[in-house]
Amino acid sequence: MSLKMKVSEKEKLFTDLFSKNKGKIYRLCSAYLIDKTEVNDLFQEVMINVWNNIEKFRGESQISTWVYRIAVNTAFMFNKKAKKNKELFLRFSPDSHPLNNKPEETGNEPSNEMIKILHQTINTLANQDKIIISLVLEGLKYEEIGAITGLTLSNVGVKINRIKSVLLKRMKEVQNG
Amino acid sequence: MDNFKELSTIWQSNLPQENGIKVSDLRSSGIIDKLKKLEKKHFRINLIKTIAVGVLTLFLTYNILSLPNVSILTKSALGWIILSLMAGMFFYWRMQYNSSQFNFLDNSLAFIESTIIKLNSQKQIITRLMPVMVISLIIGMNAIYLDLLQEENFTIRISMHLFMTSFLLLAMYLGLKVRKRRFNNDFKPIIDELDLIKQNFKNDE
Repeated sequence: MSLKMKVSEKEKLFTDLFSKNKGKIYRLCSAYLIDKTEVNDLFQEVMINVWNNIEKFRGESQISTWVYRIAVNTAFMFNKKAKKNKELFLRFSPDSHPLNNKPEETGNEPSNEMIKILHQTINTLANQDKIIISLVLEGLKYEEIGAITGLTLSNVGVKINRIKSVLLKRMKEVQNG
Repeated sequence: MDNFKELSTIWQSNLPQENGIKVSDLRSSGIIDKLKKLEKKHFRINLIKTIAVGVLTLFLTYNILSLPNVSILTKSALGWIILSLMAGMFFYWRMQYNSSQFNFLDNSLAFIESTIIKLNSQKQIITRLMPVMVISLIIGMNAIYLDLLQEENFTIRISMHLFMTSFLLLAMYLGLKVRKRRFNNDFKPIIDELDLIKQNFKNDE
């Protein structure tokens, strides 16, 4: 096989990555930005960077860590004012935005209001804290967060504790009006 | 809401799947094809630029060599100017290319540090490359004037040299000003933001 990944392999890997990670990446984008159009633009930028870097995946880290690194770094570089690539990906319909997303009610789902409050509260955090807390909310381990951000394990722990307490305090304030 | 696990569940239940992009859409709507096109576009742009410079160099060299009744000094000066411009363009593109290659696969701290360096290197295009190119141009143009104005009196010759040199220096000054403004508008805000993120990342250490 040639050194360069075959186009069909690249497409297959991209499709696989996309299907497994689109929800996580979209949530990370929506934690970082609040405006729906900007969230969609950022999501698109992440996917373009995933496509452009897919041949560099060596399997040295977990694929999810690899995708998260691209997503987080793209978010940090995201320029809201810059002219975007044409709408490459289909726009998420407004209904699909987290703030408008209404899961089917079976009695166990969290209320839409709670999701809204959570998003609003995350949005009040500093940029790097938004990213870290969204990784925590996705259930990533400290080691994984350290591998994505480059922070030491102890630093990750300190940060997460601080962000969690701020987030919970602010959520309480919002809930209590 | 004291239980963070509950928050995590809420977060993860927040799936934009059903109304969002489906994997089948990737092919049916031609997203993959568009991604490929976008990837090729940058390669094509660089290729076209390189070919254009090559063709221009050959064309100008041929024309200079075939100029009738032109002294060796003028021909050499023209050659010097062309070579300087071509070298300048080559270095400009190389610097632009290097400073736009961001390593998204690094961890965030390493990415931020290398990106800040790369974005700051855009300044070098302004502060180093442009003055070197303008000085080369001034040397070449003065050599041509020296040859072409041999018949004129001393005052005219000095005035012409001074006028041309000041004109090029003024052009450089304006060029530097425009580039600096562009740097401050396009890159400085990103550098400042990345600097802030970097500082905040290191805060709890």
